[in-house]
Amino acid sequence: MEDLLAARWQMAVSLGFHIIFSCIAMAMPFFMVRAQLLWSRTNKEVYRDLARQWAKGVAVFFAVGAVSGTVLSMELGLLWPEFMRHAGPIIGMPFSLEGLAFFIEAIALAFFLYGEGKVSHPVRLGAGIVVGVMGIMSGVLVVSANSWMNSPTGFDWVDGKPENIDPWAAMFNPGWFHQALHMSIAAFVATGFAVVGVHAFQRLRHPDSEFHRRAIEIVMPFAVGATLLQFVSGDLIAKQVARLQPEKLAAMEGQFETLKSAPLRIGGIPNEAERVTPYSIEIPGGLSFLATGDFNATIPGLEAFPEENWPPVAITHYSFQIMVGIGVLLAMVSVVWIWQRFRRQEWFTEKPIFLWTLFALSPLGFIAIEAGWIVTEVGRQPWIIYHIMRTEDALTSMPGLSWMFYLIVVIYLVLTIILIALMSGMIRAINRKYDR
Amino acid sequence: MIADFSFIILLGYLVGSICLYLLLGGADFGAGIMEFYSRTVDRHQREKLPTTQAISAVWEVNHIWLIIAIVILFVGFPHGYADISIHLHIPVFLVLTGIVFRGAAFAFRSYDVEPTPFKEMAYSWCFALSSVLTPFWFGVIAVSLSQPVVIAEGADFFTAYVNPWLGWKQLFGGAFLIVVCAWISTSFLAIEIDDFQLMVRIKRWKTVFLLGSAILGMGIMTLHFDRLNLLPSALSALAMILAGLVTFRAQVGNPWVTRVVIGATVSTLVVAWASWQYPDFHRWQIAEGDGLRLIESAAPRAVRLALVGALTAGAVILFPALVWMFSVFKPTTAKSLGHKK
Repeated sequence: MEDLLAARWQMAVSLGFHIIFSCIAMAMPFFMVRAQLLWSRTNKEVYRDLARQWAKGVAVFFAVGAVSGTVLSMELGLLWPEFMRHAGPIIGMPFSLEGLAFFIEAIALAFFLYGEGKVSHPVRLGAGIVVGVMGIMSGVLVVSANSWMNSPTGFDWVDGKPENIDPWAAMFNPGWFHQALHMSIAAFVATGFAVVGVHAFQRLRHPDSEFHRRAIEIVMPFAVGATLLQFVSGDLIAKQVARLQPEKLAAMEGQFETLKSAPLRIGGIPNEAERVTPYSIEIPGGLSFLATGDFNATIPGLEAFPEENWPPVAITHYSFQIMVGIGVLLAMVSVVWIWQRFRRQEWFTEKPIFLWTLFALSPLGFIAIEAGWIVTEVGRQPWIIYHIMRTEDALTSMPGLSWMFYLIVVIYLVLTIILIALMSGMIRAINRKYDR
Repeated sequence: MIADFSFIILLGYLVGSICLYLLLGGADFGAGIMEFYSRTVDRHQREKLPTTQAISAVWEVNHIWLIIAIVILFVGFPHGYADISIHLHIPVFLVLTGIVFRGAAFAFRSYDVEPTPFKEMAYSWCFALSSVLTPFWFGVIAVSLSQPVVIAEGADFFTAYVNPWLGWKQLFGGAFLIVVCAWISTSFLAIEIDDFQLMVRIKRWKTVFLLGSAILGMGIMTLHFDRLNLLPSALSALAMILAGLVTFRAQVGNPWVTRVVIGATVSTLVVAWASWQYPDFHRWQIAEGDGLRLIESAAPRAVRLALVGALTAGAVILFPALVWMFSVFKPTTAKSLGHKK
């Protein structure tokens, strides 16, 4: 494998792996705190068990997330030293603040996990909330560093070097808010549906167990609320991409021609050689409206940009379609859930067809997140810093990177297998208790 | 670029976070190293448990000092960080794998609800091996920075990516750091264990590790005999005396006194290394250059000021929280720990 490709793959695998753990650390603490609160209000053992079991799960995920995050911070240098040489000082603010937020998160997690009997109940609850808030802060800060790569500000680029660096302007770059909001909400969607799906499956196999029913009840409102909110943030970020990175938007939509009243494309197979995207359903004026709020706006297609600056169109387009498609699907289920709440029904915790649906949906939120990151990262190519530095120029001179990549893949595969085995073990243990 | 206030404070923070990482993270590595011993003598359960208990609640926190140090490096000293990443790619990558295996093995072992003898053995080996390898490669990296290797433009693979870290001096540095971590860990354990027989054995090991680090440390100094100067040598001697105090002095009433002296020992050692390294970030002659000064490697002043501000604000929040955490999870007296027999 060519070194550039190996490095990009290694980065993709490391990020794709780490992002799952970060999302869990952002959302799960709030589920745990809700269970803990319900326990203190009702004194029902099942809520205490839920809080405990989830906390154990979070501890394992947090540990793997901590090491995979450390790996990433070093990989940035190992793979892209020229990027770090120039960008490190510029995006240093979000990274150093993230380090501190993560530190506080780890301390709070120690109190939540090991504090039972050592600190008072409100302190533990407070620690749980701090874990979640700091998890979200870490996510927001890291995403802000990423969005700087998409919309670089806070420096002057003179002779291939940054000058007059303003670290705060770089941190609050034009894209940070939209991207951070979109990611934070996504963490709740993905983690929420994943957790609900696991418990739905267990509920099918252990219909008498109260444990899994309560779990679904606790988490579902988070998942549903986040899914519906995501449409607002999705609209915001789409408009922002249209303003800041028109090539990326064109690639996301498979839009080659510059058009007034451009259509919104559903599906389709982009053909870069012929510059067309056939086999799609087109909604007239849809793209113009979504990108600008005006059905008649002109949207620049890829033809408006030099071809050597195009991102890979097909991958970006497919990933975007997958992300949006999953969003729509989850939103439909969310609307049904709200409907059953109005009707005062318990379909989602009682009816097998709904439980099977939840189980089938469980990986989709994370698939959408991975697809969304592919849109962000592949859609920015060939740039590592948009319109400033090309990815190939940031690469290390060290050869043989494919070996490192294969090794990373093997390591992460092994970790994944062990994690799944551990989680199954934990679920089996709790089922033994509640089946009795 | 001039060495102003922000530069000096930033260097202080960097050295400080390395000290804390070596002290707290190093103690965890040492606990992993001790696992080899507890495995061989088949007193598995007995010795592993206090080790695990001693680090469980705070173990993740201990390793975040590394992240802080890395952030200071790549934000505050980006050119140096980039050079390390290129020419020490292989040892840094090996450190990474060590960190992954160690963290994962520890977490998996702690939360495995269906342990079997085979799994226990696998976790234990993984934990112990990675606890040896990670400090080893850190030691290799630390000594590599000071080696005046020549890396000409268009150098071959070996010269550019292997030669900077492959050598007797670097290997001695790695071995030295392993033994130092083991010494830190046994020194902490000795004041936290209430089992008398176990304590006697731990104390014996503590002495062995002290002698080991003395021999290896003098070995490193001998190898660098032509470049020894007063301050680092004096600081190393001071670290040695402090370590001797911790190792041979009879039990002090308050374990925090001992903990502070261990901390002082480790800090003196790190400062000795840093003062020997100063004013260079590394001494590699890349493309006919003559090493990289710390000040040349540093980020512009505006960045340094912002970073110092963020770290200071962070320290104001972090240190009280850390003190609170250690006071809740680390007992003040040996008696209050664990069960009575």
